[in-house]
Amino acid sequence: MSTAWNADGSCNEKSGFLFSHACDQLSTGACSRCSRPVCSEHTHPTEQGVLCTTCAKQAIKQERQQQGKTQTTSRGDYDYHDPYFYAGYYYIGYGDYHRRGRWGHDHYHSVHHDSHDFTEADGAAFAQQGDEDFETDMGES
Amino acid sequence: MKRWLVYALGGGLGHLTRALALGRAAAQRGYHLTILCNSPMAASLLSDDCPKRIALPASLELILLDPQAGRDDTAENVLRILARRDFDLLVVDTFARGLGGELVATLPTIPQPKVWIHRNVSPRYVDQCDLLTFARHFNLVLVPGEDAPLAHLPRAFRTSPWTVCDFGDLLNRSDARQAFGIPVHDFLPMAVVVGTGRPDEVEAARLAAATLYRRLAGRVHVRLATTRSTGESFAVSVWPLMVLMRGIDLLVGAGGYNTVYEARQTGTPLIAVPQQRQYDVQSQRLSVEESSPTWSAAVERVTRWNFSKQRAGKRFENGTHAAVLQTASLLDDWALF
Repeated sequence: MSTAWNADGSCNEKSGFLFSHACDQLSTGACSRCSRPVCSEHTHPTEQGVLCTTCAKQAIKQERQQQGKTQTTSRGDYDYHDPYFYAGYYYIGYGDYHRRGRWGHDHYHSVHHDSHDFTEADGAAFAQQGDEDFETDMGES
Repeated sequence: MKRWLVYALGGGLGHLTRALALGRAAAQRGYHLTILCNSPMAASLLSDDCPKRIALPASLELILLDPQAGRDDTAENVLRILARRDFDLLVVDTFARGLGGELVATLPTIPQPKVWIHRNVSPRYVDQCDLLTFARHFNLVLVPGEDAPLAHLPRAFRTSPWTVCDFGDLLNRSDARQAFGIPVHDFLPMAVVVGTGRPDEVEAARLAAATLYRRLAGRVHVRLATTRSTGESFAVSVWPLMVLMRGIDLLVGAGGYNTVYEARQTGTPLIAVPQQRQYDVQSQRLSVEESSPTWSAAVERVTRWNFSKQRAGKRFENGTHAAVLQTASLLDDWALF
């Protein structure tokens, strides 16, 4: 399904680490898959062409599904240092510090924690505020 | 005769009821409506087991899509119906981009005038799906009686709340009470629990009604109003409940659009438990006095309710008529230019 993009010269990609909002940069090109106008910071050169962040994420997901992987072990051709590319795969394994041998395990289990620190449990609250999966459930109202 | 196609997809009965309300008012002005919906409750509402207490226009056409169908199948059916172009006006209720986002590519290409019914929705939905940008594809935005995130748009037109009944449709108190099985010479007050929504919500309402029925026996009549009979002696299958509002001394239910505005428009006291929805923000709609956090709290409040208070019956204005006039004006302008 094609989408009508905003053709006012602005980047049509979303920005934001915790809360998604419109990118305020000007577009410098268009995604080769969905034609979304994007700025240079939301442009990702891949084997499938120059993609926007959304399509690049989907491409990774599809690639992962094809390979039958549950975790991304290879970062492939994608620039994981890109600050705009904060997909979940970036952190896979890094937050799992409950199991001995994992990165951060010893530190996590030896230091004092402030009760005001964010924990994994806070993720649900953020998800409720900013990451809802709208337009997927046809039984909602 | 001009035909309006109304996109009223969404769970529950709210979208369909609002569309039927518009359809009744539109029919009075000579317009025909086709309503597109996928509510799993539509079938029970339309069945003969649920007596209809108002007349629906003979010209009304209802297309019920499979409520169990997934997004892709539903979207395909919606787009197929839109592609027929056999309507003079498209009305989209609540979900400007479609419930599954399926209207995004198609809506801008539809040559007929387009109207968006914009009731209150989650501001996160408005933001994440950028409804502000998409709203420009609509020629008119109808705001039916409550504030909404984009109600400030220049094309927005605010009306009174929309209800499926006009003032003249309401039965008098005695007839309404008889419809609930209460004899003419019985003067005990009556509380009615509304059992609509998802199956678990209907079950919660049924349990609340059963508790109140036992607890208030001999003091207050308690009834459960549903569109599908649950088998209990206190359950009444009725649609629309609003017709019987003059017989109700206290309404207990959720915080959906129709329940709340039917109660307020008729001056019926309401205790409501706001339900979690992805788009509808029921807690915002309810006042502090109306809202109860849980069904248990609602039951406690009903138990302590002072039923001797006189309810404030009042004449009300049904916003559907102003909405139809404004839409008709749009059609007239469209024909000129």
